[in-house]
Amino acid sequence: MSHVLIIDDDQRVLAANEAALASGGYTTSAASTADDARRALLASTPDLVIVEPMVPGPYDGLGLVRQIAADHPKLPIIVLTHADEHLSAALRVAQDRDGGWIPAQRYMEKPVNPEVVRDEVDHVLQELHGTHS
Amino acid sequence: MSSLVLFLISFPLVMSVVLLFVTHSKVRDVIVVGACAVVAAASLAAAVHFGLDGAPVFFGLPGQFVPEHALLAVEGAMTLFILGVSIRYRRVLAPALALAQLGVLLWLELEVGRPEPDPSRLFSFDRLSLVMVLIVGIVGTLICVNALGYMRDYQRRYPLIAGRRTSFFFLLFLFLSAMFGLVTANHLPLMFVFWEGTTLCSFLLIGYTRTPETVGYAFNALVMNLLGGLGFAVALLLLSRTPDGLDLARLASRPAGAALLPAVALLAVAGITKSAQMPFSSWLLGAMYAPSPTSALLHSSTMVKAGVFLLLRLSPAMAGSLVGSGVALVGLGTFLFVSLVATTEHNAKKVLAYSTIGNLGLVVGCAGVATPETVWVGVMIVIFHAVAKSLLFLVVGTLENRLYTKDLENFDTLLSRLPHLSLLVLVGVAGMFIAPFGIVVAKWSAIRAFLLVPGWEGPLYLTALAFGSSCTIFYWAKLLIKVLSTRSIDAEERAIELRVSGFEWFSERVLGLLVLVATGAIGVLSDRLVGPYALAAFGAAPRELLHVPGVMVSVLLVAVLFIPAMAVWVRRRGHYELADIYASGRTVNAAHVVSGALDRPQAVSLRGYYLEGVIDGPWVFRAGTVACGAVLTILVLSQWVHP
Repeated sequence: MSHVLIIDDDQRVLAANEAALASGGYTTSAASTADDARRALLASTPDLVIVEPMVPGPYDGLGLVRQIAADHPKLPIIVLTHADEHLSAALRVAQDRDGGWIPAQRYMEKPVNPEVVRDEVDHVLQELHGTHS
Repeated sequence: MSSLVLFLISFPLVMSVVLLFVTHSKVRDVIVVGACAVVAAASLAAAVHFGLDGAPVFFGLPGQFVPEHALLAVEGAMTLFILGVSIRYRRVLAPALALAQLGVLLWLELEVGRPEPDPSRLFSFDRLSLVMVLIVGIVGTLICVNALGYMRDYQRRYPLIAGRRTSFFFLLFLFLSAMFGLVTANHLPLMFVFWEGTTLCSFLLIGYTRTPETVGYAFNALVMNLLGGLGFAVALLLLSRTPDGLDLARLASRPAGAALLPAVALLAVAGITKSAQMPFSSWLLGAMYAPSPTSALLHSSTMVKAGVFLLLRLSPAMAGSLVGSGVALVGLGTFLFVSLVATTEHNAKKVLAYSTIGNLGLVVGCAGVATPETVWVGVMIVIFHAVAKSLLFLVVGTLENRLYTKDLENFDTLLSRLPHLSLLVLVGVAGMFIAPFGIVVAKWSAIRAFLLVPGWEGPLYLTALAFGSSCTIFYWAKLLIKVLSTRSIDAEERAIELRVSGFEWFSERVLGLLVLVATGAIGVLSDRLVGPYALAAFGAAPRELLHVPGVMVSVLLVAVLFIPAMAVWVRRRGHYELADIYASGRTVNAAHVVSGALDRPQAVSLRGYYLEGVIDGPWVFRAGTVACGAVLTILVLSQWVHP
């Protein structure tokens, strides 16, 4: 059974995604701030992490994602964030670049149907391990 | 005419090389849009220049140049490339087939006493070429424009996939160039080089992301198309020993005699592999894992259309022969089998892929039956399928980039969430199965055309058409109802559609418009283009076709558009919430479990009805592959047993 850590400060999104993942046979845990996330990742490494980079904490833009990727290079990451109105011009340019603009497997903009999030977790784990929960 | 055709082949080729060196995305946008406008304008100019009443024209290269050795050099270079890639990915079959092809071509080159090609008949242009040039030049370029927006979103969604967008657009334009060459070539070795060019382009486009999965699908496509290519090459060798030699127009001008039939059979096999008919259907299903513009290009305006183009061209040569019957059986069998499988599928792109294979099956079947009526039907389906299917693939691609899913079950209440894209889906789906759109008119005419076929074959073909078509109605209607359902949405959901790029809006709206325009112009298309082509190819005008008066088309079009308009109106009138599922007198609990008969707990869900419990999709697919494979084997072997 695979474990997924969801980092998001929107309780509605957290609850919906946790329920959808649970129905797909995953165990989940949640973190609502960057500090919570860091502590959770230190305690145990999940099989996959879903990150909203805009949670309260010391990071700008996608800094939290980059930090998690630097600390856990093998951990698959799905970025699930609010639409890109808040993104800086530099980030938009980076997004337009060919490949490797952020160290994550997927980048998705909210709102995303929780079942679709679960399917995407399935796909990413399948791609990496050839199996899922 | 000759300069226009040569421009259509060479200009995309030059642009593809230019795009290989453009790394700045804004510059790429400008170049791609400009080049697409030029290509589309040139193909329209070809239509105007040729005139709808024009007679076939033949022409060669400037200075009566015959590129015999150049063709061999290009073929050699492609073989070397395949060898290189195969060594890198440790594949055996693809390089073996490529080398075998090259060997056959060298043999052909060294063949003593083979007829010299007529330098003034290297290319030809007739109404069928015109249809294909317009499809490639307009639908193909719209797909390239769409790709500008789509690939940007695709890259954003998969941050780790190396983009290689320079090579992506290089391949798209190379593909267009090869297609223009393929549909205007009359000298068969010349056509063969373009044919192999499309094989190579599709291989590289399918394997674009270079993940193990897509590399596997790409090699699958390569092997199957090289197998067809090998058949094509052997056919060239056989034809080079006949008096008419390698002139396609002469070969296709009359029913082939016993001396020519083995070559025609092998060319038919090549056409069947390229148009992804059973037993070679799996490569096109793999192609849908590529980015959507690739799927749209392969499924609607290029690649598979190259296969049916060759078969339609050869149709008069197959008339009344065992080869023709075999091709018809394979085509209509494929249509029936994949339509059955599609009823079990809820991946939207897969449904579209099965529908493509099915519709192409119908065209292949029509080419094999080989009467003026069936060829009329085939060409009509080619036209309407190209516009409607490319629209659907592009819209589903846009939806996938915005909703992150291609599961039909997630397309619920689309009309509320993404109303403008939903209308485009509706136009595309209507184009596939609702009267008065072209495919329905063509299918109706197919019924009449099959009734004219004497003997046991007519009723058999008719049965396959009837059962296959009823399956297509099942899955299209389901999609239509999914999309048409409505609910209240919030501002966050409403904003999703605002993020669709201008490139995608432009190309998809133009294609939507083209579906409507082509339907409105169905009478003109039949009377001026497709009917005269059938008359020219068979020396007899098509009879008993469905003539839909313009007024009737207009009335039906308004009626069809009235339904979604009503849905929008109803949605705007009030707010509706989806109620919980209610079953068997007891309300379902949160986990969607209900007490069923004998108080047994039963899981319930609110979803579309798929026939997965009734039809074993993979089994039917395998059965179809075996059956059509057997027919094809008999078809080819019979030509060698009775030379």
